[in-house]
Amino acid sequence: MKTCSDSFSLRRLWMLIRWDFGANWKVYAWRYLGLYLTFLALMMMLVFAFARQEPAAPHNVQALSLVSAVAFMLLSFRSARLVMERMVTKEGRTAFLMLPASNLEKFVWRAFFASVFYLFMGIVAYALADLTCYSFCLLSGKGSGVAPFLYFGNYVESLVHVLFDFIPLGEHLHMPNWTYWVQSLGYFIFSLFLLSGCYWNRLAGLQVLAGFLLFVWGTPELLKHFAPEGLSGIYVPAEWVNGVFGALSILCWILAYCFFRRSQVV
Amino acid sequence: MMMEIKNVSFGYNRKQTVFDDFSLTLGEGSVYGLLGRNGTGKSTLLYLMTGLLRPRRGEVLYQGVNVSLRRPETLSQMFIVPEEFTLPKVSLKQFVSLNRPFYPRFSDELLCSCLRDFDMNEDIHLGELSMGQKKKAYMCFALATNTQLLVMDEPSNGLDIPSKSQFRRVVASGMAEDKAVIISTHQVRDIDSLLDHVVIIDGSRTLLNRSVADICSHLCFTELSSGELTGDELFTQPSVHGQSVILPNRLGEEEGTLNLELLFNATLAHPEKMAQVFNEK
Repeated sequence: MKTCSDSFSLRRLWMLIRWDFGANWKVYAWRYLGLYLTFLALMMMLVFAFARQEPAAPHNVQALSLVSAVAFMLLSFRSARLVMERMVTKEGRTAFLMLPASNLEKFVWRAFFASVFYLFMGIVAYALADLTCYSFCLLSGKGSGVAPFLYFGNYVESLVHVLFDFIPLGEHLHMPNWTYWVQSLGYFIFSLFLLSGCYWNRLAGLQVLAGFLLFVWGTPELLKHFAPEGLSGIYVPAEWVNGVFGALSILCWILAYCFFRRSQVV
Repeated sequence: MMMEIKNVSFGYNRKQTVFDDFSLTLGEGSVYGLLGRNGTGKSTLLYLMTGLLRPRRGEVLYQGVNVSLRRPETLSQMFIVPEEFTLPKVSLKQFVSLNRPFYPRFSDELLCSCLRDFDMNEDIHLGELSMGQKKKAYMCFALATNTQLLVMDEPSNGLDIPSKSQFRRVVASGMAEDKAVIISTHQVRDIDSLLDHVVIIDGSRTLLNRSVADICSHLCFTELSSGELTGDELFTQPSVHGQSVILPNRLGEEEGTLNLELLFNATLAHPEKMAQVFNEK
């Protein structure tokens, strides 16, 4: 008889996390170092490009936010594949699928690692790279401003404006508050990444990037076809945006779990 | 029955079917040898048994539970040593520490005993071992998990000659009444003295599923010179000393030792004749 204890156990989840980190901590450590060095390289390039005397200057904020946005976007694409990282090879699939933990426990851990944990690693690496860059600027006399990481809120807002300049959707929909758009779209896009990671396994990031680009360029074309005069006069409540993208996100997660559960060794 | 494969159909794609309405039952307390030609589906069958593959139709039950569900309590009772595997670059102690919590019946005594039989010790680093040494270490861990079902795919591949006899000793010492070991291999000479039960498959057919005692009570394996052949032989094949032959065991008592290679060739060459021998008595 199937019981709750068969499906999910915190104790087994902890054993699974310990098993994953115990066997792969060197890989994760090198990965974190790679993230840190990548962010550091990007920031140092900007130091020498813009001479960070005014870290809060609009052009510097926009430049750094664009670079950071691209870096975090690439991070998200990369993290999509991490859900199935343990199952890239046949040997890995055998070991992971045969591990005595439930499908739900394995999925929860991998999804958490690919989303929250990896993003947390990225943010910590970003902050550390930023502080390193700031220290370098102080010691070398290249700049005397505070660490740009403290302007992260400005960067996010700047990033949103950059995105809305890039994505034509903004012309067609009137949004009372851009934060709902950012939050909802962000959740949905990540859950799409997660679903693609579970379905395709390999090249998941590239495939979801292609899908995303198709979405952002295809949607306005569709809107132009069905509403040639535009939708600027239509008011879309923020709750609807949250509701629609939230439901789509939940659907993506459920489908991702279904694909994960049906994984086989070949 | 410990393992029941019921009317299973499976294929890797729509055009290729490996098993079609295949059934097999395996009990506990025996070491099973799973034999078959290349590409006949031995490894696939092992993966189906352990839930690593899902059949298109039919079901595979382990102690009444469908293995495709991959329940933790089912997985903790079985272990597979695949033909190819990778081990993390950690010490054996660390590896055991990370994996043993998943297997409630894990035995340190068994682990030490198996390592001793393989002339290895606990203070080894898995990243520094050769492939053969990794295989031995992994098999020691597999036996130490003390699972009721242990599945091995080509376990003697990569082992040197002394290690093969060590392997037989290790597996035999780890056996118990409530356990089953299923070994799939082409290296029949490495395991023929170890087996209690022989299963020979060919596609979707089970050509032979008999205990060694039963086989030896029905068949006699011997060497004859070409001039000694009488025509009663069920199967003959040339050997160094003349002809290796299989004769019906008319006395009905267990005689001699099983020649697994000869049995395998005879069963593949004349499956109906061999089946008839077992059905007659």
